[in-house]
Amino acid sequence: MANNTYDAIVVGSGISGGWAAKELTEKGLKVLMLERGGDVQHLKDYVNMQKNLWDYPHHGRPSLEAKATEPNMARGTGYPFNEPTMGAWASHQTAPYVEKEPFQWFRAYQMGGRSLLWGRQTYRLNREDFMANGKEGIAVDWPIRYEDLEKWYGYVERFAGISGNNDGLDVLPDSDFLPPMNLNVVERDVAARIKKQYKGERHLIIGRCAHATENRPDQGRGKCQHRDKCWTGCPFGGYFSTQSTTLPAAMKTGNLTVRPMSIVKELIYDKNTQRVTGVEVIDAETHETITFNSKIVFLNASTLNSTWILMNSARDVWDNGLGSSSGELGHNVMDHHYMLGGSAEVDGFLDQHTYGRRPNGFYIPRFANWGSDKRDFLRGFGFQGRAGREGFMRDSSELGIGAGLKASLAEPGKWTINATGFGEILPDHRNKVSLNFETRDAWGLPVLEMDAKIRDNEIKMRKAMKEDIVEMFDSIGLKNAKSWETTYHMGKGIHEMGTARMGRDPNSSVLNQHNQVWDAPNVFVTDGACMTSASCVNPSLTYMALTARAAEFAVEELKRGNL
Amino acid sequence: MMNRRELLQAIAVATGAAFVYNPAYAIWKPPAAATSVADSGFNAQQVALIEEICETVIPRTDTPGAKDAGLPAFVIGMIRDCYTPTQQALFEAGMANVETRSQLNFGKSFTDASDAERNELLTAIDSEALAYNKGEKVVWEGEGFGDLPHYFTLFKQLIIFGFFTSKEGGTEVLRHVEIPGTYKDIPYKEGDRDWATVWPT
Repeated sequence: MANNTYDAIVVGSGISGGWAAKELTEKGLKVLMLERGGDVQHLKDYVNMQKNLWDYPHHGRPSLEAKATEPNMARGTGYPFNEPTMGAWASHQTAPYVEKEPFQWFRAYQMGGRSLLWGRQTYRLNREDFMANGKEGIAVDWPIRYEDLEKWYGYVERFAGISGNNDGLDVLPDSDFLPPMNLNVVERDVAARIKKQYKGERHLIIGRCAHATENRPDQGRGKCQHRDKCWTGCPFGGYFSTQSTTLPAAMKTGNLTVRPMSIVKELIYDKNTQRVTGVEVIDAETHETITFNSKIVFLNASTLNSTWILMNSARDVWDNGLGSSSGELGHNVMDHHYMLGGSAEVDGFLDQHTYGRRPNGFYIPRFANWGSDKRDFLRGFGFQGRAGREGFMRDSSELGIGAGLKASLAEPGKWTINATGFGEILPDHRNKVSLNFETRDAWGLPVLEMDAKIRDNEIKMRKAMKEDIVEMFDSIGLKNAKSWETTYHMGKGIHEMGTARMGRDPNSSVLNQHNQVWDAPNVFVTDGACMTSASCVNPSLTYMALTARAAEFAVEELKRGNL
Repeated sequence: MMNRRELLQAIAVATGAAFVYNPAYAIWKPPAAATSVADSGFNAQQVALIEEICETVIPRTDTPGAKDAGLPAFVIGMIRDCYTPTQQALFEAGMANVETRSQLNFGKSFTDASDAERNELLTAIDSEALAYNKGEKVVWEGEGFGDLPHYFTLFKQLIIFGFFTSKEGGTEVLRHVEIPGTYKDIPYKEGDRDWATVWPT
């Protein structure tokens, strides 16, 4: 567009950026979407989507060299770092960060961001989630309530395609669902036993996920085929991503311009109007600096990078950057703490097996501190898991060798059940990120320094999570129930939240109830940075709803001449 | 089972899109190739030994065995690329131990022993590994290898992983359906094969 001027600039092309682009373009705005990484075209760039483990040099496992190149990601255990997804995560080599406390930061610097690599679990926050801070005197109160977001949840769910069952639980409000995936025979049995044992106060339900369980010809998406290779991109567009779902809608309007390889260095702030006039971009390839102008800016660069952009903007006006007047910018880092859970054996059902690779599991919604359940910590946790028959990697130490071993492992073993806990982390001012000017990235920009850790409430909760899952499995008659735990540190949940929270008061929050930066109302932050508290459910669905809500408000405000 | 061509057709039907790969744009990068047998530093005798150990643990029956599935090349690549120097040293010490015990028991190299002799020796070592890992005193003393398990545990786990994630192991010994279409309960009777896996374990 002439002289690089647009109605709106969207920074980031992940889950929330894709939504911002779709909503703003559909409302008639000319939008520039900036993505710091390279382009990824739907289908044609999913080079691994048809591979099997035998197509990878080490059958999927990362080599020591690969681990040594990316020590931050390769630490400990966890799904993300392996041969099928190699190259899809941002590299520490070009984009380092500093850890004052251990922090694992999984970033996807390419078109679509983490929408191509996410876990796809999608749950609404509940009514209490929006009120708990206020009631308990923790951090600040959310400036919105469930009722403010309810219609927006429905709106984004219908378009994104969320599979799930109407369970009718207050603790986990139902979405506007596509048909649920199936629990297997053992999971249904365990669900029934839990319901009976806990008199309807605890539940095991099918996971809710952003998978099309029906064909969506209007979107050019086929239904999920249960291949379970989602992290390599889906040939059917079976799961929600920017590429499969929001980008085609935005492109169709003719109002969207996408510019990959565009690293936003800062927002350009005008002291006189107290508005942002645009953004300054570094071209990732040429290192050239380019300015783009717009009436509004949506920051959707991912939680910590949206905050990084604010911190690196208007430093001549505020020492700690745009949005820092409250003293809260960069503070209140949250995540979901996990890397612990329980397992047990299930007797019987040896005449049953399953067909297909379900890219989803069961969910046990929060029960702690809910209803009559009272604990010595605040908030709660949920469990994600699955039951299945043991595979060839089961303990084979007593199966001998040779033809007998081969025949044994060619058949499934006994049924087991596994559940991993995900707990809420309280917002805490002491948990923060800041700019570190000593370390620079490949473009000479300062990097983030992470200084956040779990504290007393989370540590107490973790003990309860392990005890509760073992007690549940024991009490319903499962065998050899035991808990497990490996190292968790902030970021490992890949659910970073906070650092530019919403609130009611410019003195204690960075954003208002419409996700506008108090210090520059034509800047909207609608990714995880805006979260005032974390709940214990997977957060992406909430970012989608907040983004759609803020986009409508932004366009109305533009029309009213307020921005 | 659907082949590649059928998969492409199914995708075209589902999405209405035709497409070709353009690796130049790929973010998912082809991982570095595994260290080859030639570059592994193992001599021909050692490679032959690894090959026979693999085949003895997972032999060809009415279905493919370890050799058919491309082990030991996979095992050698894994050892060199994915195992620590200490684990590699344990692996090599274990190979030497198998060879020594073959000479002691049968008066010949493991690679010259009969199938029955190989099976007998590795069965004994497999039992020994179980005992060793439980803390019992056995022939293998594990000196210099600290908390690492018995070397045969390392052999066995790597061979099992490599075999059942190979194409032959995954499709001819286990079952694989490229596009399942759904997830559901099915009846099971003894002898029915398990499913291949698509994520590294």
